[in-house]
Amino acid sequence: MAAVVSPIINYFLTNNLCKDYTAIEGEMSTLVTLSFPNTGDYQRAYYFASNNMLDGQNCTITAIEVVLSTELTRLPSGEFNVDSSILPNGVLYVSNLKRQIIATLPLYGLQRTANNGKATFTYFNDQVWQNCYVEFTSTGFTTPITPLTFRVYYVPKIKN
Amino acid sequence: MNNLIIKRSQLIEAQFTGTPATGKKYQFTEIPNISRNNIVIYGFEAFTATQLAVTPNNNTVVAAGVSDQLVVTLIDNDNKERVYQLPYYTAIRSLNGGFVLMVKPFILNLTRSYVQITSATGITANEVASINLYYSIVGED
Repeated sequence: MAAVVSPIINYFLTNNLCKDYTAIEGEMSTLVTLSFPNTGDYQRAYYFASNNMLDGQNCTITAIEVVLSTELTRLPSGEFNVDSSILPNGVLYVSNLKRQIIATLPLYGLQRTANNGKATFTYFNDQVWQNCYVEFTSTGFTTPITPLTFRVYYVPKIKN
Repeated sequence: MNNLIIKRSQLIEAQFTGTPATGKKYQFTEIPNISRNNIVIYGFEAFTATQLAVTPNNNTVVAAGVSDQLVVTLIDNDNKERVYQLPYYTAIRSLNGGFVLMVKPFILNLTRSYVQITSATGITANEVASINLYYSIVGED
């Protein structure tokens, strides 16, 4: 028997507003590390390094998650990964070429493990990765910290 | 089961100025970019200090223990209460299996929307209820 799809759910599906939580996150994924000065400061923007592959002209970002030390103790660089205790103090900002904010995403919510294994789906099309940044909002961040690591899922845009 | 896809998002907050009072309406703070009835929201998520300790505006977020003492009302551009007195707890993603609350898309009147306290115990003056709106811009795909 065919499943009944309500008009509202059909609207969400056809407009890329939702998808099945078990759906594939993206065609490709990459690990992105954001390093900080020796002692970080709060209410200050820490920008990502340029990564053209993650710019909106080259890909659509379809999911983002924070990778914690419980999932990956050491990074490919050999450095220790960040502890989850600082996540409630931080926010990820995704912005475009004009530095307009596309999305504000508290870091805690980007943990897969905090969301019963579900990834945070996105549909970012005009981001510029080097204009995206993390800002810590509270003094909990002023102790020396380790790099913050994200797993970014994306679908490359086909070009002629 | 479907889960929400984030196209755009914006953190908003309602501040409990003065002594927190049961039943009083605490309107969301104006954000110029989205306060002109120019966004269509299709989902939202609430936070306590467990998920976000302090907002980017440097306001302390309510503690997790009081998340069952707040209700949220979202009003559309026709001043209809599209989401009326929704328990705040219901909108916290990590407490709901990782699913983000989705609503039938509507144009939000941000500054008329509000949060109410059902019991002031444990809520301190000037704390905020913080919500992430998931939206698209009117006229944009």
